[in-house]
Amino acid sequence: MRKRLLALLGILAIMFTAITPSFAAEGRVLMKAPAKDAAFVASFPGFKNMSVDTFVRKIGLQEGLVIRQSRIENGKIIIPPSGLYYTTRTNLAKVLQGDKVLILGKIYTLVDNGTRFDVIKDVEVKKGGSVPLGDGTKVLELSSISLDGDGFEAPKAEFQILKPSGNYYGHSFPVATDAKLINITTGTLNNGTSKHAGSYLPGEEGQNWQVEYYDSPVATSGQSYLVVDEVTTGGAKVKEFGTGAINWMLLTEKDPVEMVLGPGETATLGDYTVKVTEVTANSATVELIAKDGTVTKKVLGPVTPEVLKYLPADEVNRNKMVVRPAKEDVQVQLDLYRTPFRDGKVALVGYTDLFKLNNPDKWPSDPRFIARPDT
Amino acid sequence: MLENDQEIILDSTNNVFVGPDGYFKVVIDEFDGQTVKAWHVEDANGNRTPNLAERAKGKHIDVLINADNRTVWHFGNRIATTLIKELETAITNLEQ
Repeated sequence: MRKRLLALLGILAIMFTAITPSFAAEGRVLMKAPAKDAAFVASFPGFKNMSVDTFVRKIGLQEGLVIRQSRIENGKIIIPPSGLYYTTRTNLAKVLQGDKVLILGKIYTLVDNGTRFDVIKDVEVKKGGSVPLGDGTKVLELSSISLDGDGFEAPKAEFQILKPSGNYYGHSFPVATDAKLINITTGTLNNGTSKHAGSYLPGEEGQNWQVEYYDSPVATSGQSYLVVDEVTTGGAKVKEFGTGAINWMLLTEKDPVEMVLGPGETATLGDYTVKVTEVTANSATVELIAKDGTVTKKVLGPVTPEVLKYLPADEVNRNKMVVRPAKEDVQVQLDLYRTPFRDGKVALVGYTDLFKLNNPDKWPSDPRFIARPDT
Repeated sequence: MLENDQEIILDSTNNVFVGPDGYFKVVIDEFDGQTVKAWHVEDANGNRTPNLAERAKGKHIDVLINADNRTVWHFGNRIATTLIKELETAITNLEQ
């Protein structure tokens, strides 16, 4: 019996493995660029550019289309899997702020998202080579190694993150370890060089050609960081690299429902009733009551200066500001960026008709297409 | 981004690929089995791009549409100088 069960589990595992690669990177033309002689259309009515208001600012939204790696073979025109993609960009879209995304001509609110942090350690990368990140749909590429611009040999490496779209992440990671360069991570330059402002000529008291070359084995950009052990003319040893990625997003096409409620007051949010049972100076207890009487109750907050410092990025504290039922079809959140507590009441923002997109996931209304939050 | 899950195969008979939610179409207008002589992208309202076959001389149907989109522009930026030179040549040819 035990052997049969193990055999059955083995078959299930094989089936699962066979089903999963539909979304995987293997066999797809992810991280590839279009041909250099691709047709270029600077603007076209079918792909929109617009600006929308959020709770805190204006943001720009732009759509586009890319076809890459297409070919003619045996009398047919072939576009490989992932070779045709619709792309939509929102500059630095964040949750909690009512930020929007434009998808296929419709405006959606980015209601919430989940993230992960991918770390790689102790890998050697040759010049021009790369190492996979996370689920393998992105890589850390050692794009170039250059010698110091002043003519002596001191290799400097530049790493870039190559994304599924074939684009590089906007920030590169330049690093060097050569002994002829002063490692500024030891504190050099923290207080400057003690020079006075002005122009210096070569000489021991002036511009010193023996020592004044600086670099670092560490490069950073926001949460992303790169630390190298060694850079040579042929490659680099990465000690550690870390960068974030989105795991899922919650979106809705419906407008937000704004509520200001005191203790005991209620409001309607789609199929739910929102009831506030307690309001303090920096928190509110909120109940989401479903039609069948199921109650989801949560204390939203506390909103403190310390917590606000890292919002909306801090996912753990952000979760304290929102409540969703198990079905995740609606969300209520503190109106955090527009005075949430006033006159003994709490200002709330509610969203209905939520849908969740995992990374990656089928596009709900057209499963011929895979949605990836990365661009 | 929304990307095609399965391979897309087009020819003179099956000459239209409809994009996600019917938002746009890729239309092959003229194909002799080896060279795409004419093709275009069409939006849901019937707006059409010009014939897109010229730059690649019909060898493929790679395309970049809408330079205001940063993903598109990052690729466009790599060929911007080439595009300007091609435009200059086209203007010169028209003037002759």
